[in-house]
Amino acid sequence: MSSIKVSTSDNQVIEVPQEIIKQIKIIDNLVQLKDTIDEPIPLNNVDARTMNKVIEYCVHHKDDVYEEYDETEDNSPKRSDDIDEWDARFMQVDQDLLFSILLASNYLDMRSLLDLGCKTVANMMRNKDAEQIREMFKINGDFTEEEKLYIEKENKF
Amino acid sequence: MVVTRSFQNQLPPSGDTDKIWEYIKTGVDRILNNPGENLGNNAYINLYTAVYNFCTSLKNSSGGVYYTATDATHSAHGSPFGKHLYDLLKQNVTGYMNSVAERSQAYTGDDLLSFYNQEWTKYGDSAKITHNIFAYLNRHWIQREQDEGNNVCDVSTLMYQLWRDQFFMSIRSTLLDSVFNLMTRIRNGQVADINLVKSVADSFVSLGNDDSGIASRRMEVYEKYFLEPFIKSSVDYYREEADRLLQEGSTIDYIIRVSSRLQEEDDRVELYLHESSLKDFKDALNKVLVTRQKEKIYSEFEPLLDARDSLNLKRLYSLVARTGKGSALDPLREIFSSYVKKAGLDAIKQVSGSEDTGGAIAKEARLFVTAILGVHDRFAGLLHDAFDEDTGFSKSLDNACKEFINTNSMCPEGEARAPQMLAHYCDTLLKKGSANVRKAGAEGASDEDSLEAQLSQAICVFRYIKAVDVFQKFYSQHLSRRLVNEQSVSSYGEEMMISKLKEISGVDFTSKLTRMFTDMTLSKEMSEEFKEKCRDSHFAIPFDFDMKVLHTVSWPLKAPDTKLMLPSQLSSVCGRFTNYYQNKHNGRKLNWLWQYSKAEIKMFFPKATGPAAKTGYIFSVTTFQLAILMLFNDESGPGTGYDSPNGPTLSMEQIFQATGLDNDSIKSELEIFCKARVLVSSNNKINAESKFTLNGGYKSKHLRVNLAVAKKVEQKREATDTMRAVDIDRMYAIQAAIVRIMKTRKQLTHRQLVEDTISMIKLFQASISDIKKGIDTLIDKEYLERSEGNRDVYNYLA
Repeated sequence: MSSIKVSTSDNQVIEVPQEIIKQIKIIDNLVQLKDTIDEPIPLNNVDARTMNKVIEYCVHHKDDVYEEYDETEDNSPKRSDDIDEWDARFMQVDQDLLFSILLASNYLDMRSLLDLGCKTVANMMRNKDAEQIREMFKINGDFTEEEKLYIEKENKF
Repeated sequence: MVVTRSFQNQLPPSGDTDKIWEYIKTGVDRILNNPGENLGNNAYINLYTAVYNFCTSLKNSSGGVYYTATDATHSAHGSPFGKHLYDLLKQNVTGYMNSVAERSQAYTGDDLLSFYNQEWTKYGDSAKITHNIFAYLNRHWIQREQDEGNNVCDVSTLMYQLWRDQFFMSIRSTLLDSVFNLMTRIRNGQVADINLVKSVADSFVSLGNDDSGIASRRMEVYEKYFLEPFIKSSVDYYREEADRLLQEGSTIDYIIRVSSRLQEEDDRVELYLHESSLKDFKDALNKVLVTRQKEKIYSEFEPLLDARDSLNLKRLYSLVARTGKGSALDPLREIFSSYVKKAGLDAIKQVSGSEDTGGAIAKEARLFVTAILGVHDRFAGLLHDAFDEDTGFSKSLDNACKEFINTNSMCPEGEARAPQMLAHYCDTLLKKGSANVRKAGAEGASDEDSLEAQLSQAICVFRYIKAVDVFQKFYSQHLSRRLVNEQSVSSYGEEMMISKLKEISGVDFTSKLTRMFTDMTLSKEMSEEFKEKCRDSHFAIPFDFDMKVLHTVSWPLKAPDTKLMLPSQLSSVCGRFTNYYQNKHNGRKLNWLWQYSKAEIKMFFPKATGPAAKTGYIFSVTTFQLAILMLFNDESGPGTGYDSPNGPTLSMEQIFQATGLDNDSIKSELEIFCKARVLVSSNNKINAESKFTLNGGYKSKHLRVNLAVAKKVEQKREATDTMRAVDIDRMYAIQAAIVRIMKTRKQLTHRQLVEDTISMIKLFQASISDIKKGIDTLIDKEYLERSEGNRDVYNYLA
């Protein structure tokens, strides 16, 4: 089994090289559960453009050593200034794609890519106030009062 | 009955949570009912995606905003759809579990076990797949709830909880009854499938504990709901069986039966119980089958020893040993110890009264040691065959041997006869011409091997000897005899014995013995050198001459208590040797130990016939005997010349004049000569009036005759002398120990000093009266003084 095919939300079939499957956890789980995978795996929440980007990221990082992620041991606040050069360049994309990648990494269960995406967004928001951020991300103030209340509650520090 | 709906791959659009749940539920039902059937990759990913979509929904199906301020208080994090989904799943699986419980009603006994196991296996697969499909829920909502400390568990654990709470708990007792029923049939010898029990037990283990997830309580369900009742039912079963067995048959039958019963259980239990509970289970059975009946079991021990039934002894031992190798075995060890002791005493009593010893210590010693070895080997064999080389039993055996070997009907208390006899026994093994070795050697093994085996046996007895100093004294006495008389059966045997003694009792114990061997080697060299010197100075020694130079300190030999004037032929050579030696080692004193020297002489008797007329007789004699016999060869002796064809006739006074020997020695030698009919007495007595002359008509069947025989009286005297020497050495050892102790402690009470002295002296058991004597001597010699204020305290005087 050299590669696995996935079909994207925009109905394209993309090949995922065998060597990067272990980085995409939901595919990895499936592979471990099943003996053969011949049909393309439908990834209904990812489009082709994003998927290709994800694969590009995986190929670059295929030889990384994955340490077991242990939350109980890592109590220090996460840093956002430790992004390496390649990753920083990789993330220089338009906002639509950036958020697609974020969503995809969450959906596909890719911890390192999700972290990278979040750090990138965090860096973008650094030193900006709410209005600027809303502007930057083109967020309309269209929350109902109830929603606002919830968000406030949600983001209480 | 849940009907499996065919599963569609069509994923409902995100946002429509009702539809999405409908979709997920269909998938989950399908998995629960048919986990074995291939779900298909698309379905798997789509279900995962559906869970993802459900959890990431912002609004519910009705299009309204799902969460309200009040909802938000319930779920502080993320989408409330996480909790919603979790509850829906729980509800759904609960429904499934109830249906399983309902179906289980139709089964009982083995069928119920089969049903349970089948469902269990299926459910295990379902749980695994469902867990994976709900990976997103696990990863986010559940994870966060757990971080918050809320009582929520991952999907797999949730499913096992539901199995336990919704199904297992309701059929638990029926299930266990089925297990017990099956076990009873197996124990009664019927055929049943033990694997059914194993699977049920395994499922209990997997069901874990409460919901806390604490590792130490992981086995709680298994232990509480399975192991405890299971052990209880097993104990009940065997209690009944034990009572029945003891009512119907003898205790021996009981031991045999229970041994095989427990063996069966041991073999079987590993097939179905979790390894962590093997010990508890076995302990419980041991308690009901062994500990509860221990008095009865103990009481069989001695009769079995009597019957020498090692097979049943082994069973009995193993049974009791199962309950712990410590105190449970102690009563047996005690019985064993006193039994061995009694057997030893009996065996020795039997040989001590036997007629054929005739008072000869060598024979007596052999009977003694053989009796000991017989008893020791018998029980050492039992220790190996039946008691698993148990250290406690081994100690019991050793203690018993120590007791019966040192004090018995042959060895009265306090006389140290045992070490003497053992030393004699060693002598018979190592001395040339011992019937003992011949006999054993004939049984196929080479002489050396059989000697080694016999010496090892002697060493085995030696280990139990208390007064080893007595053994040492006697052994060195015998050894010196063997070396001086060149009677050792093999130097290999001698060396081996020494090295074994050294191994057990240390270098100090054998250093004198070792030095004796050194002297032998040096003497050989010296003898060669002396002969060479004689050749160089053209002095011809008129006979074969050999001597040994022995250090006084190492050898237990004394200077003769009588004077001796050597025959002239001898004195010239001896004088030469003395000169040679004094030149070589200036200042050393050389004492000639004539009483240990020997010679061979050839004698021609005038009336001899046959070969003896031509070759003469060869007599082995002591130097004393030689000196006397030579007088009868003397043509111009102090007698009346050729007053008979048999040579001179001499009175005791004349013999005394010529040899210088004291009267006692002359008397005892003449006794031997007359008894052997070499000399004849004029009045058939041996007294001052007797006159002695050579027996011209001497005849013997053998051409070689040994006249240098040890006299019984002398042997006895020697033993007494040796014991006296032991006593003297002991006094010195005691005094040395006291001085050493006082030197470090400076001041001690009488009691403390006696205790310390006893524990310091290892070679023998110092008696309190000897220690008191030692203290008195040391006070006289002013090494110690009694304390001024307290007469019970001693001070050391530097």
